Parts: sequence; C-alpha cells; structure tokens
Amino acid sequence: METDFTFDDSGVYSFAYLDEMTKRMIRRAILKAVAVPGYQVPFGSREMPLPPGWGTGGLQVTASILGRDDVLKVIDQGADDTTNAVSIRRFFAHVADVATTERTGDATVIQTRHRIPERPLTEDQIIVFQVPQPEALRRFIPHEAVARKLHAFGRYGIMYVRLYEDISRLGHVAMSADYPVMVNGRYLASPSPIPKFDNPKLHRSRALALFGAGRERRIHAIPPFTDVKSLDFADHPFTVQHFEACCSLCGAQDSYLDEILLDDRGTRAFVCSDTAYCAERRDERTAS
Amino acid sequence: MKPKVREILRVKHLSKTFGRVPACSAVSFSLRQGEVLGIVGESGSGKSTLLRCLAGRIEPDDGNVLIASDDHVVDLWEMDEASREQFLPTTISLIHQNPRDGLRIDISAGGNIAEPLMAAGSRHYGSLRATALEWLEKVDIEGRRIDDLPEIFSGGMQQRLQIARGLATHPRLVLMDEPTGGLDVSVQAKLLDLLRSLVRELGIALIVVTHDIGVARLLADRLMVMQCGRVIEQGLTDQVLDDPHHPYTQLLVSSILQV
Repeated sequence: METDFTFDDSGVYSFAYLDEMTKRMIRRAILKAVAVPGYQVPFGSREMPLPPGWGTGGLQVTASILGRDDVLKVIDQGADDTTNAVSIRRFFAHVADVATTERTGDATVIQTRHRIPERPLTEDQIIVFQVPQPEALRRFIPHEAVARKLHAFGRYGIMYVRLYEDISRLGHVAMSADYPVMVNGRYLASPSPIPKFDNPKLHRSRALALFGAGRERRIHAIPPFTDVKSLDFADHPFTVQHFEACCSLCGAQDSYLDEILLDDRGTRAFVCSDTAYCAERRDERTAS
Repeated sequence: MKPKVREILRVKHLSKTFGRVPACSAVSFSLRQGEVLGIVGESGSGKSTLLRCLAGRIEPDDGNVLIASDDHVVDLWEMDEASREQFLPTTISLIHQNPRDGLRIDISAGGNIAEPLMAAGSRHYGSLRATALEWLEKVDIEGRRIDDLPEIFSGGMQQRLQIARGLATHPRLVLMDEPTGGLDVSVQAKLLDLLRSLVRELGIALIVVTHDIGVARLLADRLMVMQCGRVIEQGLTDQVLDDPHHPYTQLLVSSILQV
C-alpha cells in the first residue's frame, strides 16, 4: 500500500475503484470482444480520475480484470518510470492493493501505452492497451455508420488506397505506428499507436491482448494464438523498422530503440525503449 | 449461325415514389450485351431515379431489377444487403455527371483507378500500377500524370478519369448520368468519341441518361423517352428521333436547335 495519501480513505472505494456493476458490464464487453476477435464492442465508459486521452480505456479494462493475486506492470512508451505509468501503477496499488512490478516476466497484467514489451509474453499474462482511436477506418471514413457497415461487409479496399498512395509517392508505406492489422482474417483493427516494430508480436501471441478506448467507448481484443496480419501488398510485403545502432546501455540489437540527444552539438545515443528489458539485460551482465 | 446475344438486364414494372410524387411508374425494359440504351426526358422525368434504382443506390417501391450473373439471374433488390454490396462493385458501375461525385479528389489518379480493383480483392501493387497506366492511356491521359491529384485536372480530364475508374473492374453494365453535362462542346465531342470506341471495344452494356438529344443520337442504339416517371416511347434511336409518335417526343425533337 502506498502511503503518500494524507487522508484515510480505506473502505471508501470498491476494489479497483470501479463499482461491481460497472466491472460486470465491462467484463461482458471483454468476453464479447474475445469471442469476436478484432470486433469493436461498445461499452459504457465511466468518468475516471484521469483525463480522457491519458489511458482511461486501459484503466477501466485493467480495473475490471484485476484480481487480488494479480501482479501489475504499467508501461508508457516502453518505460516503467514515466509520469503516466507511475501514477497508474500507484493508483491500482492504492485502490486495489495489488502487487506491482517492473519486471515483465513477473507481471500477470500489463497495462501499456505505445509498446509491447520485448520479452515474449506468456499464456499466463494479459496485456491491456490504452487506445486513443480504435477505428482503423477513421482516417478515411469520418462517418461512424458507414465505417461499421464496411466492417460488417468486410470491405477494406479503402485501407489499401492508403498503402497504394504511400508506395507510389514515397516508395514505401509511411505508417510507422498504429499500423492496421487484419485479426483472424476477418476484422480490420487498430493495434493502438504501437510502432509497427511490435505488430509481429501480436501474431499468434501467447498472451491475451485487450484494447480499451475510454473516450471512444470501445473494447476490442486479440485472443491468444490468433492470426494477426499487417496489411500489405503481395509485391510490397510488410516490414518493421530496422536500427543500424544497438542499445548504448545494454548492447541489445533486437530491441526497439529511442534516440536521445546528449548535448547541444547533436551528439546522440540510442537506448532500449523497453526500460525493464534493458535493466534486466544489464543485471544479467553484471551477475555473470 | 449468329451467336445468341445475351440479355444482361431486365427491368420489370419498376416504381418509386417520393412522398406523393411518383418518380418512376411501372418502368419495364431490357438490355443486351454490347447494347447502348439512351434515356432522354426533361428534368424531373425520373431518369436519375431510375438509374439509381439500377445502381443499387435507391430501393424501388415495387418491381424487379434482374441482372444476368455468370450462369444465373439475380434480382438486385431481393438480395440481402451484404451480397448486394459484394455483387455491385464488380457488376455495375455508375458514372456521375459531376466527376467530383465519382472520384476521390484527394487521392492520385492512379489511386482512383486502383481503388475499385483493390476493393475487388487485388493485392499486387505492380499489377495495380500497370492496370492504372493502361487505363489512363485508354482515356487519353498521359501516363506521367498517374501520381497527380485529380483536383488539378481539367473538367474533361476528370470526367475521363472517372470513366477509367468505372470501367477498370470490367463491369457488365455501365450507367452514365449526363456524362457530358457541364463540358464545352469540343471536349464533349472528344468524350463521345472515346465512349463510342470503348463501348465497341469492350462490348459492355451501357445506359446513358441525358437531356441532350445529340448525345443520344450519337451513342445510343435504342432510345427510351420518359415523362413524369413513365416511359412514353421506346425504340431504335433513328426510328424514335426521325419518326416520333408521342406528342411529347415530337416536341422534344422539334426543340433541337438546327444550326
């Protein structure tokens, strides 16, 4: 239990903040989302003690699936120590009294914004994504009713127009994050703004992936071992970012790197965006 | 022995009213492969409503739209919405009077031609690109303009691009709503030449709605004259225009300016 709250509010909140009926409603939406992979299930999003856009959707999904024995990890842009990650982790430590961790391997529930951890997830883990815009078609179809019809009829030709335009103008597809995927060969889904580097991790992932969009009031899911295919052309296959450098802290060559400016003369370094992965690798090195 | 020409479209007693206004009443006709049918009539005679009922945009109140599919006949408005949406893009294409209604103005010319192909399932960039170039050439647009936005094209080029987009999926039936409306006379003439050669070359069935008798005479094999939602006269184009029977058709023909 965190102790930096000045008043005693024990017993004021129900477990994990949301009331039991709300959690039941969200769990039903989650069950439906898992049953129809990639389909966006509407749910009654609640006001949360966090501004919309800061992860209220992920927060509500996490609140609904947390149990007393769960171990929670929260990451923001891959890091455990950024403001948003720290506040959400503290929030659940306070209102649900659950154990928290920074180690990916120890967590049972991982709430994330913009990244999937480098360490492969297991079947005992659930990853919860904070999603600003769950509708992958929104960029082209501003009309909700039209977009839902296109989903119902499975007509996604319009998404390929974007790919075509990018390739004809730039020679490659210029979407590097929030790269749309086909889930289970049926529904087009937005994987939330993760870099396309992480898209292959969704394919036949061992962990359940839940996507919560608080402002848009939608939940969608990718159940374990589900086929997830990033959109591409037969002669322009999907590729992920490739880094020339390796992590300057742990030396990893297989991880997604952040570029850090070190001084005013443009000196820069690349470090792992997944801080826990980087720390674990450094620990292993000092131990051996 | 001459090969039998297939009937491609049969419309039976098609009716549509808007409130108390009948837009189409009991319209019946049929169309065969390679045939061009002109529909003429004044504004408000129900031409465009009829076209939209055929294109799957407006559901008629009564009647049938029967379309020959590969080996059987389907009724457009008996199908469920999902199959209709599946069926329409590859079978029927609608060319609008205003190219901006039929084009995506914010994507390149090549993208406009490729979009219906991608919607139909094509997932090979190279072949999409080749098809787009091929169609640009067919409609007299230079290949180097493939990546330009249609926004910067002239009105005539936009209309030609819309035609390329509409025909690239090889639809069985093409519907055109005033394809030459709003274009100046020399551009009109070029467009009509293009349409004539494309229709002959591809052997598609074409319905052209127009209020311009000249366009109808140049393009259409057969003519249907509509007034107040009714078909008042139909027959071979020359026959209808040279020997009109109905008083309204006589009026229509005599109102052409003789230059």
